[in-house]
Amino acid sequence: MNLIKNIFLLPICLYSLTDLAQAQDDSTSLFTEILEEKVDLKLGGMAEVDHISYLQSKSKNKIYSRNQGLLHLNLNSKIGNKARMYSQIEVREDLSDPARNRIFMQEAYMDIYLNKLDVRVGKQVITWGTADAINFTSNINPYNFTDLLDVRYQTIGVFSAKADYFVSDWKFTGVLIPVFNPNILPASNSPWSTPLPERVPNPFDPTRSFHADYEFINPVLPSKDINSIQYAVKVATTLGKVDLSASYYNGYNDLPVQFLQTIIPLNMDSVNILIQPEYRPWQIIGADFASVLGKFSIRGEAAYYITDNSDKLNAFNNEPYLQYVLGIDRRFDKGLILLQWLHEFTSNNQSFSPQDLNHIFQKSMMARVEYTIGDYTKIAVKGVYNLEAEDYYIRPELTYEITSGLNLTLLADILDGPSQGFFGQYKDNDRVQARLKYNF
Amino acid sequence: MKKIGRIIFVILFLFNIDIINAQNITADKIMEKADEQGSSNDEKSQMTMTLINSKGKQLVRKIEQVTRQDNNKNRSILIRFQAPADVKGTGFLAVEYTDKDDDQWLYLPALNKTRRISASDETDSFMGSDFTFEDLDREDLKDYNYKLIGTASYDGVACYHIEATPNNDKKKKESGYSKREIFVRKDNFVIVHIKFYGKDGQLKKLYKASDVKQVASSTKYRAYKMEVEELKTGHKTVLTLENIIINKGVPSDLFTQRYLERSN
Repeated sequence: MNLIKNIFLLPICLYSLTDLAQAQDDSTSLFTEILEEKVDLKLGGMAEVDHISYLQSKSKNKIYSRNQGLLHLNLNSKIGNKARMYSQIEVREDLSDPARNRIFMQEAYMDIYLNKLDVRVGKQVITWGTADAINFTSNINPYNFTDLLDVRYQTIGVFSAKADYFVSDWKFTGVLIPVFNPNILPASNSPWSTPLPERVPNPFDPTRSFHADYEFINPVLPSKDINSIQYAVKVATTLGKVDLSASYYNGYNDLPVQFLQTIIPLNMDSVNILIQPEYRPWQIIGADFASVLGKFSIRGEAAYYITDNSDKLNAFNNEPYLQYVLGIDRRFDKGLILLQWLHEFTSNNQSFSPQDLNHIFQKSMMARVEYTIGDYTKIAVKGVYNLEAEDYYIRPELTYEITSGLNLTLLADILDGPSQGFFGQYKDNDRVQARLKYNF
Repeated sequence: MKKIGRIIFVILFLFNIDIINAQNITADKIMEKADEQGSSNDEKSQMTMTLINSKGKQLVRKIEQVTRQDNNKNRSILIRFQAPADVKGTGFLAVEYTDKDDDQWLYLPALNKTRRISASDETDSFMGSDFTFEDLDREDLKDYNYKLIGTASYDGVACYHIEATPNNDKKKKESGYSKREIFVRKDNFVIVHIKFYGKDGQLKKLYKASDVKQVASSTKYRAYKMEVEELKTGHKTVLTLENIIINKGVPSDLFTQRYLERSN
């Protein structure tokens, strides 16, 4: 399929779809659906042209740009107030990195609404937690980490069944995920792929080191049968002015543990290191809350990760740990100020590799400030500062609404700090981004 | 505390009808009748909001809304955004209590998440429009002194001309206005024009209502078109309403987070 051609055809298609959606909108309403068993089919989605340029390009083996066309087609079909079907297909072409081209079913599920029970079956995104952007209690879906900073479409739908049972002010949720899906990690040609050390110490002579060649063996994945079924439960309620929930997840860490299998000496100065990624089971106990304090919204969530370390083979740290986030925000007429504190407690004062995506925010402060100018322009600055490694990330962003539904966004990503920190290790990845997005 | 999302009550409050003898009527009585008629057990409507800047450039927002009042006079409001497409599906749920602070939640379909949010200030703008939350709030008559200035013709229709000023320190502090001149139609007690004066005493905003008609299968009258203009900036907001349904029954479980999350 010629994706480029399709991208050029997009405007024509979109106008047609918009007209169709508009015509359908006119025939439906919030209120008729309550009263009637009416079938309501809607098409929608978005089209986006996106460019990224990195300010430095230090390696010839990496791709330091993104020139991407993206189309999301959403089909939403309601059958009165009893059932609903939804699907989203993504079509993506990246001229800079054709390996990223894809046609992908992001979500495809059916909802069934019964008296006190809502059931959703199919490929879906399940988001838990009350915090802004970082939700330690949300662990059901895998993530696409191919771009660590562009997190807008990062969550990957997972085939699962979810049931919500409502009793008074209580909501009980159960989720079954029969098939394991791992995270998608940056390819080796990505600026976000961090290289392993070129030299490793010689255990017999600390004054010398070996040149290391690495080889990755096929990862150990959970079995594709009932033995690897994952499940989660959650209970939520409102007490006074506080929304509360508690959750439990039993499944697999979507990020692999890198097991060091063998070191093969090649000569006096080089070794070949075999590494085998393995996806380990874990359990996660979570809780969250949200409330208001005068003009302020406050929220927080915590997750205790019970890792599987039974065989003690893990080359890296794998003890249980606790992560929490506390946040407060204040909305104004034209803007928003939001602050969040993220913290991690580990047993035995473990330290983690800066590449470990499960431990990015060890002791961090996150902030977001937004301000709207007139009807069309919004400026925002968001950032994270990690007090542990003293590294940081800042994103200034400007969005201009050209017309209803069509937005131009300009932004920059700035990272700096010691390379022992998650953001510091990517300090050469400063970049600028421009994207034009049309929602229909 | 009365806050956000009461567009429907604006309509109810501003555009009421009553068949009463207009002679010797006081300003308080006029406003009382308007308020009394503004109450309904439930109401639904669809609204198009057009923001127009001084250069004539327009942005269009569409929402659907439904309200319900329970036996304790607590009011629940559910709003869903229909357009533009980037906010489509966003839902807002508020429960306004007579004896405690409101509860408010926002559902964001892009995040697949419902969030409890704090109330906005009275003077904050509603959805970036020229309407503030105060404008859209149901007016507590006890908070104002009303004075009948006389009669006037507005848009060819005879009106009562009333001056409203806050009568207590709290309201004076919260309100964005020092005074309002309100024009109430004599024939149906619909408010068709308001002049808003800022804290500095200067004329700040103008409100105009038109297309006033009786709601189908109801004794209520509503303005199907409203306009507010900010005089300093020349910025304008035009609201047009469609498919208004009054007192036809709305189930209480509509005003729950469960239903809010069905906004898609």
